[in-house]
Amino acid sequence: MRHRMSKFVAAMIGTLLVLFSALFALGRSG
Amino acid sequence: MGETDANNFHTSAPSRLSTPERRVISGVLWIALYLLFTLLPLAIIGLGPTPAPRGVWREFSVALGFVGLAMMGLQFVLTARFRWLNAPYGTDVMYAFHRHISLVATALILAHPGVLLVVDTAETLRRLNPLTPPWAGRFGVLSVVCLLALIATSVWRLRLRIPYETWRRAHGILAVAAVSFAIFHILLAGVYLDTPLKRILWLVYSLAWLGLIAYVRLIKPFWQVRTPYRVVSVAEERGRSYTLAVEPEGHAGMRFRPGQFAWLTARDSPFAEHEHPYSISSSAEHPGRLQFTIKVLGDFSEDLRTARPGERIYLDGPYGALSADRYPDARGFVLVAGGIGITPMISHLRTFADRRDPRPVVLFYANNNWDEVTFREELERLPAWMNLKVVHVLTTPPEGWTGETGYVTKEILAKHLPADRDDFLYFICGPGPMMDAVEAALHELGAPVGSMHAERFNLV
Repeated sequence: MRHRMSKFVAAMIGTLLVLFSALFALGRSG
Repeated sequence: MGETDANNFHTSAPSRLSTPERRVISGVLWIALYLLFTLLPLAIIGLGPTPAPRGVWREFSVALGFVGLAMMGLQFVLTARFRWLNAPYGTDVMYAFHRHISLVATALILAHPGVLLVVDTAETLRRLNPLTPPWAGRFGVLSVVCLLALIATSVWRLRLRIPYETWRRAHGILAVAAVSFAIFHILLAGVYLDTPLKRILWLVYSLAWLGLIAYVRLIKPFWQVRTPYRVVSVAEERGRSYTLAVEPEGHAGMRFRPGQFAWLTARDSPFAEHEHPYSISSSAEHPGRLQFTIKVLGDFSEDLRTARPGERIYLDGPYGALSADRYPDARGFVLVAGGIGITPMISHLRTFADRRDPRPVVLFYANNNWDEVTFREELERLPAWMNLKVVHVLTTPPEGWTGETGYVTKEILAKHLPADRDDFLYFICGPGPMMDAVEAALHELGAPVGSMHAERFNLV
């Protein structure tokens, strides 16, 4: 169960980081 | 009033520091900090005057590269075995997260040149060609090659038949190489670290990762050399196992909780990174003499069996979250062990017996046959000292066996679980498929997800 949670948290963090990277790109290019 | 006073007393007791609620809070906090540290490079490159924007896709690709590298660097934090970081999750989950997040980081890092290849194919191919300048491109390619080798050798280690020790050394070297080459790639590209302040901040941030490697590979082994243990005895056990007893040599040793484990180095220097994790099987009430019960499964465990009294070994520990002592409010425990998965459980039982802990414990213990039941005789004696019920489950029972047979199924669990098991905790340790099946069965029998704790020993 906790291992499945770890997979879920890793996927969630990955998604958030891609979103933040996109925000960074949008912010930088105005 | 009396009840309020009791609660107040409980709140101010030191054990409150390790209550489950507190661990949940610190667990969430570490995840938030993880996000913060992965995004820190973007904050650094966004400081002060920034370089001219280069188009949204190029900026996106760069951001993915920085974030992916930060994730790779943070892998050194996850595997540095900091107790305060592992405590909320358990070491096995920390290693599982290390594996899961490495795949996410690799995807982000590969997306960095991937996006550039799509938006500017010709220029990107020129930069990625190792035969032509720039050096930034060459280092980028080298970093990705090391990263892919790192992932491939880890995911397919068994298929590639790479011995564990060889893999572990290569893993460290490839990880340092991948991160170092990526740092050079960024410094040489120079576009985003365009001011001295940014370069300094970036160097401090990336040197912190390399400092962690120095801590893990040099400082920790040095400490282990200073705090050795001496083998006291090696005793044969049922089930192709043996118990190694050790005592601290010239130091206080380690205090541990029942169910915890330690990394053990024998017949080698701690600097050699030739260590294996084993559960402590002795009582937590006797930290002056630690016992490890080890099943002969490979070269290391076979070799250790011939250890002689007086021989030196080194320990790194204790680690692990599979411990009743983390849940002082539990009313009782259900322990499910498969084979040598008994070791964290026997540590619990011995500790409970030493403490005369009156809380009920039911042990389901699965083995292949009766002769292989490690600690069989002791399990018959222990109920004299504690509230213990043992349910043996054998896949190949002897003739005339009247106990349970086959696997630990929902029916067997339902038959022997106490009717009143509110606020009971369930600890499971054994082969992976068994743990999955038992967790599912217990859940169907009404055990809340949060009450089940399993530790998987395929950490690597």
